[in-house]
Amino acid sequence: MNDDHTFTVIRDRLAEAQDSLGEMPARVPAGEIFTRIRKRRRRRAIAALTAACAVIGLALALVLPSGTQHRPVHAHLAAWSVDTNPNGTVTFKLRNTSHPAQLQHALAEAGVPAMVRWGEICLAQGRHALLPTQGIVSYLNRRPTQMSSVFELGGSGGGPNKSLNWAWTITPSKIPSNAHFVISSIPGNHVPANRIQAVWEFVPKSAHVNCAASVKF
Amino acid sequence: MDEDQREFAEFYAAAWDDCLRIVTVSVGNRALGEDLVAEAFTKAWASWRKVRGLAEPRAWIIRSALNAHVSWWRRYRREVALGSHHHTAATSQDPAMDSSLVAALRRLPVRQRQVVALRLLLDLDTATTAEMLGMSGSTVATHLHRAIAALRRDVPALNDQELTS
Repeated sequence: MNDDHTFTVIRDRLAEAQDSLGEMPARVPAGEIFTRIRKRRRRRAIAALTAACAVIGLALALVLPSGTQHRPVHAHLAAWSVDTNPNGTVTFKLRNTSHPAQLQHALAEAGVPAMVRWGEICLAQGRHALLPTQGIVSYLNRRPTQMSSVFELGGSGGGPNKSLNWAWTITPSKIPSNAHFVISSIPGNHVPANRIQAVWEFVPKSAHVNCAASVKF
Repeated sequence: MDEDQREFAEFYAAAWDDCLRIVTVSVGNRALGEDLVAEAFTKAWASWRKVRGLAEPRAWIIRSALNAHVSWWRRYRREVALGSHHHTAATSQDPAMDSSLVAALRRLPVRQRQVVALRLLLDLDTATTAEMLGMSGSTVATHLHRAIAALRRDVPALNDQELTS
């Protein structure tokens, strides 16, 4: 028997099988098919919109400056100055912390996160919170000569204002993301003896900081 | 209902029966055939502008349903392998589906089954079958030859022109 003959036999037999199936009405109305596709298209549109939003968000995150990104700063006040150096380090000179919000903003823009207070002394609770500054901060005027995570200057007992004359070079790129400086000072003529006139600390942002108008040295 | 919907609804009403019979015979199960054909029509509506322009839209439905059957079967096998349930595979209550010829047809590779479905069951010519399956006419002929050889091997009664039923 050749293919053609078998072809005919198979076709006839399969046709018989089809015919024997009886009535086969469509159980799904055409309207249901239209609805299915509308729902699928809506789901796909939502998924595509979600994906597009995610892509745009990612692109913006990559392209736009983030809150932590810093830029060159050159701010000079009588009380302090902040300068970004060509090598990315920041020179910070502090005589007192007046205009604290402006100073805090200038430091932040230069990549130095800091909490700055004027007229009160702020200290992180527990000295265990202090972080190492090696490789992050160097002193330009060698005052103090020893590297430290905290430096305090005593009051003059109501005498003339002691000039802080602090000058540091800070490397922003080496500051851990969870750390910041806490810098505060009080005008010298308002500080009794044995009380702190000025202090800075390098502590975790999560450290609890207490501020007071007068703090024992 | 717009013009496209009306046109599709007419095609759906006219083609459902043919497509379902052919797919049911090809997969051996009426309920499964209905699901596959309904899904194929749904896909057809999603691509209606393309499908309506084909030489034989019914062939598109059948090919789509049989392709979906392959996917269904792979998923079914994985689920059976993963689970400890004793599923009853696509068996049918239809006496017609118990034919040894129908059983042999289900064992054919999907491409051969598609060629048989379009050439023998839908009665398309080789050129249209080739166009609908995206293959050359000679490939259709080869698949058909192999399918017939396999069916003759699996159903010896074919050689005597007596089919078991």
